[in-house]
Amino acid sequence: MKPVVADNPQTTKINTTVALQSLFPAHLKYIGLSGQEYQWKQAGDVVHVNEEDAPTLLSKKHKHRGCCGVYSEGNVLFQLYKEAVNA
Amino acid sequence: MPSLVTGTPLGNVVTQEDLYLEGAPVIVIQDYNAALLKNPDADGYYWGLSGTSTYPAKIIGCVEDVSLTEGLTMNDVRCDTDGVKDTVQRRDYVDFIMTIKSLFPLSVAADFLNLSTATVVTDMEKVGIGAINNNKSYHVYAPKVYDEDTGDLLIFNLHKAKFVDAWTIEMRYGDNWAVTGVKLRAYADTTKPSAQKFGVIVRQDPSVL
Repeated sequence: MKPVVADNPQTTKINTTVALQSLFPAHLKYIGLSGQEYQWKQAGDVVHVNEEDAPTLLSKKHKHRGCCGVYSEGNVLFQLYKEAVNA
Repeated sequence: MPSLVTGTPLGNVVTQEDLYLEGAPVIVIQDYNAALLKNPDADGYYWGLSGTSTYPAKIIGCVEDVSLTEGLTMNDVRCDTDGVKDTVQRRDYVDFIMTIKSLFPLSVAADFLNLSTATVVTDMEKVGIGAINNNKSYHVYAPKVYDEDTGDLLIFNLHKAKFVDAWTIEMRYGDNWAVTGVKLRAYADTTKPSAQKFGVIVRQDPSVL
């Protein structure tokens, strides 16, 4: 019995996204590893980013010594946003 | 009858404490649209800040020559028969005046310099020097810890303030840059009770109070 060869099996890539919320009071524009540009117009804005871009964006911070008695490694720019689930 | 030894008055006397504060408070601002932390507290006072993702609390960096003062309208009550009999006063505003030595990030400097909202991209941040947005107000929270061991502190809270008046960025030879003339002016907030419409001062000192 001859083996059956599937010709050009099609694979469907499922794009998963992650919701990131801006914590920084500015208009933020960043290009992810995927090449996609994302914008957060103001602090609190939530943007859905490609899953592959999320780790890089989440690790972004303005690195600096905290000023004047406040210990800080810098200003964290983003946090994961969990949408409220309505019961 | 007890004798007066030092001239202390008789009867019920309340004295001030032998406690003296030194240095400026930390100054924190937050968009006026954010809810206060105590909104109100159990005693009906409105104070405190709670930074949120939409309305972060911003700590003003290195400050110098900080003073707190008020603006009043004063008019004498004059009777031509007797002269000035009284003075009527109205509090117009309360000012925090300061020099700021920290300029970065521009996202925070944009507030006290009345600049546009910053845009931040990789490796750069940008602000515009444009028309002043007169609709921006802030809560002001200024704590001063006066006993480092116990954490006793005094907090000035101003409800609705704006950065007013012209600033100057002094670019000094052999010295740090400094933004002088920064005036954070608190107006009456009509959403608050009359007795605290400009702000609230809170002192926390368990060993004394």
